[in-house]
Amino acid sequence: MSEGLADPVLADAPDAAAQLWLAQLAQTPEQALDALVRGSVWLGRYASLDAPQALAQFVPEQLVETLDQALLQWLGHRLQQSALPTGHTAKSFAKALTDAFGLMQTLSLPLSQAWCRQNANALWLWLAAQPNFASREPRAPFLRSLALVQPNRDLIDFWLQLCRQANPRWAPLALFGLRRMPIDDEGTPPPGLPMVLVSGLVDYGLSLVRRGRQTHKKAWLAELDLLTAVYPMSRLQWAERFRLAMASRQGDAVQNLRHWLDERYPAANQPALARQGRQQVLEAPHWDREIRPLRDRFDAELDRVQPQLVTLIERHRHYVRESGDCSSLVPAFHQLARFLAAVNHNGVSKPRDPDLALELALEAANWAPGDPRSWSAVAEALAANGDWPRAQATYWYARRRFPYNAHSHAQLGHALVLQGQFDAGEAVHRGAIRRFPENAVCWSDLGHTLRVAGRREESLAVYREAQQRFHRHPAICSGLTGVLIDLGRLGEAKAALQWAEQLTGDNPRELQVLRQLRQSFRALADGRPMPLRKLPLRSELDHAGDWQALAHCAGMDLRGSDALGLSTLWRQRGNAADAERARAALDDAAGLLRHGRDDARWLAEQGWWLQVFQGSDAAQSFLDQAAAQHPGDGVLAFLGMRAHGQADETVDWAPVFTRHPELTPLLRLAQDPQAAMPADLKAALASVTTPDGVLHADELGEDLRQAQWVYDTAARPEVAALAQQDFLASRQLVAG
Amino acid sequence: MDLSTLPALQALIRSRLGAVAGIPPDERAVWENLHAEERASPQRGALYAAAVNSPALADLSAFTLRHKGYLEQAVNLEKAEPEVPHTFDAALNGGNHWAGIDDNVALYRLEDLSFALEGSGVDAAELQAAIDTQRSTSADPDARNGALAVLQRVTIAWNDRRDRRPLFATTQDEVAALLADAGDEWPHALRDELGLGHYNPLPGRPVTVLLMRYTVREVRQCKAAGRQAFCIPTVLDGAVNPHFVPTPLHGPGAAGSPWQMGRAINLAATSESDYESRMRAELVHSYVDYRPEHLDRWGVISRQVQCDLAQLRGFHLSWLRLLTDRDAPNPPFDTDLSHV
Repeated sequence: MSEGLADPVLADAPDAAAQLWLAQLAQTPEQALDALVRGSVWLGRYASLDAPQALAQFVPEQLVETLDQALLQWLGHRLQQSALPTGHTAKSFAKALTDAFGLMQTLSLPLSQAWCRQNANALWLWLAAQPNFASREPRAPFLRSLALVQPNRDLIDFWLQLCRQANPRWAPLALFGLRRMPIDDEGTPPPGLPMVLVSGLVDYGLSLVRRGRQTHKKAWLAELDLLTAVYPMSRLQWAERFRLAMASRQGDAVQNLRHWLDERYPAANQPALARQGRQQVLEAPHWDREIRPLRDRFDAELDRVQPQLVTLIERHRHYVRESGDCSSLVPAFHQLARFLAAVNHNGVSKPRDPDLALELALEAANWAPGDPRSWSAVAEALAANGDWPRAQATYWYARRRFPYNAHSHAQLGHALVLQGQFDAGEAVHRGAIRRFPENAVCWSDLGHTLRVAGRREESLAVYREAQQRFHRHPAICSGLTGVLIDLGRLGEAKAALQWAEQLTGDNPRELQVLRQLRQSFRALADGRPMPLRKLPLRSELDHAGDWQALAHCAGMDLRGSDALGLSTLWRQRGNAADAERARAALDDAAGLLRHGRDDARWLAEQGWWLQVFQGSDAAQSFLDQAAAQHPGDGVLAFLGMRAHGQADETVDWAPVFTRHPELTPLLRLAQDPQAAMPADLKAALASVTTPDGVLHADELGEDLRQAQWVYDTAARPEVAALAQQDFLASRQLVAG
Repeated sequence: MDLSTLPALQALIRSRLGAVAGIPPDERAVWENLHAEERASPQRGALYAAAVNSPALADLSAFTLRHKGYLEQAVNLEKAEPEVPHTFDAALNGGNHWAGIDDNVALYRLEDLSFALEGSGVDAAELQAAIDTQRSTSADPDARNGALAVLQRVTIAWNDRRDRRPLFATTQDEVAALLADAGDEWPHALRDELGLGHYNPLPGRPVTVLLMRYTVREVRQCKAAGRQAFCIPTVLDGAVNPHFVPTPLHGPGAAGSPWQMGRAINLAATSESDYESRMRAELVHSYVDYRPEHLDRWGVISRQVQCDLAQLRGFHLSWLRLLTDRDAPNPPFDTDLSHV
């Protein structure tokens, strides 16, 4: 201490206690900072202030970099931890995090800010699982800190995602981030209203409209009024900006948002006035007119088509970075990615361009991480690249994150089968049938899996059952025909083939399958049955690429997702023999997950495992402990409370409701298993349903899809429990 | 407070008094305040003791942490928490409640702008411009509406992030003349007059402050507070603060109600003789939702506090004792740490 105080830099501090702390900062920076944000530092006359307000007054310039380094290290160490640090209460840790980000603001600490920018997605997700309270909410100062200092446009997708998620707490701060974002990567500040900001506001509005609450209109108009106040422009200019931003948006919600806009700028919904002279309009490439024709000629005219395709891809990138509107890039990129990653095409059994496929898929996932199609494309592109470790983790991640999406289950099942993991593949497909018993594709996938695994009698049984349920489904009848031919049952195969011929339409793929069936049948009828084809298993390299690229999109390290998924799979199958397999997978996961046995996902799964295989008492005491160590994790809190409820104890759900609104659907059902879908969700579904009753669920955000999934299944006991487990598991993968 | 019920704290104070180098004035102020505090009820004192007592306290930093723990559990409560902050709980602190304050009294409170905007989507310059526009008599209606949108946005986000901690404030009568006369110096003048010594920036590190003005009625009508009240502040109502001095219980010969309120230490006073006229009233009250019209003005504190804390406390305590009739021969208002 005496050394520190002898330093003239420290002696400038206007308070002896503050000097003492500065001396500690100089000597042991991270420890000094930790003590400060814990609140265990006496700061003399500054003692009644919070750290960000106190330090902003007395930290000398010469020590700002030391403080910055200390904060950087402190945040890095916190991010490595999942459980509540020793000595903290939930409130005190929430306050410590809040103060840490507050310091970044009041002292503008460049190293910490740069690190937070680089790790924005991961920090955001991590913070969502940390304790927070209204007045001790670290996410608000975190977002503001990011917004205030932006040397480039790196955060554009982060801000726009938050706008689309439409959380009324975070969307306004995301709009602030877009407001403060430079117009280029050299840090040039926007000279006026940035187009990307209008785009963010429109996306926010569209997401609010889909949530179906009229009160949201007020919140959105308040944002609009704020922007009107800080960007003074004529009403005509404002109307023009909105007209441009709305022009590219599609879907039923647009019409409703136009009604909201009518309250401020009705001219935005009128045709544009004739323009003077030529003005270049920023537009995204058109899929049907521009990209699809190139895709269709890709194989035949590769040399000519490829450069044109690359030009269109660049145009997409330019458009989205300028406008903030990713509504055309995302579907275009994941379709192109899957096209370029496809293995069997025109007799060629290798992917067209797996590197470009992966690049595009990752971009789609980066812009729209809540869209299952993006992750589907990423997984396929990774598989096409021969990167099974990352592909496998991505398939499992997608299934966990989007349990309502049958394709995520099917795709995982297929991938496992292609790897020769028939048992797991079968279990995934059976799990899909439990969840989606009315989905013929799930049945077909299971039948196919059993068939290629050589279990043809079982396959036949599945197809027969499916035939009863989906009498007119082409995939079922062709699968049934195929397995009957495999089994040499000529009479039954003939009947099935006739049935298949009746059902097959003019789809080229179906016609090709029918041709093959006819050929096989003829061979069987001629007494020269064709040899059974062996499934060409994938021989992937076992080399994983850059995990960070996936983590950047997902906000978390995906390593261990596969082991965790397997554990869930075996546990949900529930056979006594599966207990050990589930246990082994869970132990594997502990070695792979970022936080090991402290990882909240692992703890939840362990709680389930105990519940199923060791009984309620063991699960209850384990979950109590886990929830106490992870007070910010709503899923663990819910599971702990539910365990008490199941033991006939009185449970007060109100605090969980308050702290974890993202769990509302499950909390309502926990209190009343007959709880009906709430009016706002019904309205949201209505807003994406066409007049002839077709539901465009893809237009809803993933939180609404999850809620819909839980309510839709609540009345079906055979599915409800699974769907609710799925809901909880997926909530641990996204920020609340 | 009866420190014998707080043995860990008592032991710490005793050990600190024995320090060879003596203890700094701000630390001494903290111990004196705890020793002298008479307004903590036995029930509240017991709850405080439960939060603070064990294990042993190593130093003032450890005590600060323990005191913060008490505030976190019992005073600085979230709006979503069902409990009543101890300060506003009549059963625990009813003796310090000030029920008679008139609804029309205007209250003033100083806030740090950086805290107000910590989670906001508005930047400091925009907020300052909006406050100026609202105050301006020449602003056009569009500009006013724009400013209102900004201020609404700031106050809504700010309110969302505030807990129900007791809010220190003063009354209009106490500061009206100062605000009228001080011109651009009002932030420094207010800081000094109200004993806000924590606003003490190094040169080049100015603090932008917001002056909030609202009425007693608005505090009383604020449902988000859960329990509305106005109180004489005690050491248990806020952070450990060397610039705070607790108010004694008044003796039989004290004047009427004016001395049943808190008094802020005056950082600008230079002599004991005129100190009494510069003792500004302070009180704590329950949570109030801030609204755009409450943002009265903004200003900058750029100069450090120039004062001798020990001397000012001496002035303050002398006058307090005299005015509350707690000088000899009545039981003295005891800040003498040798009695700990």
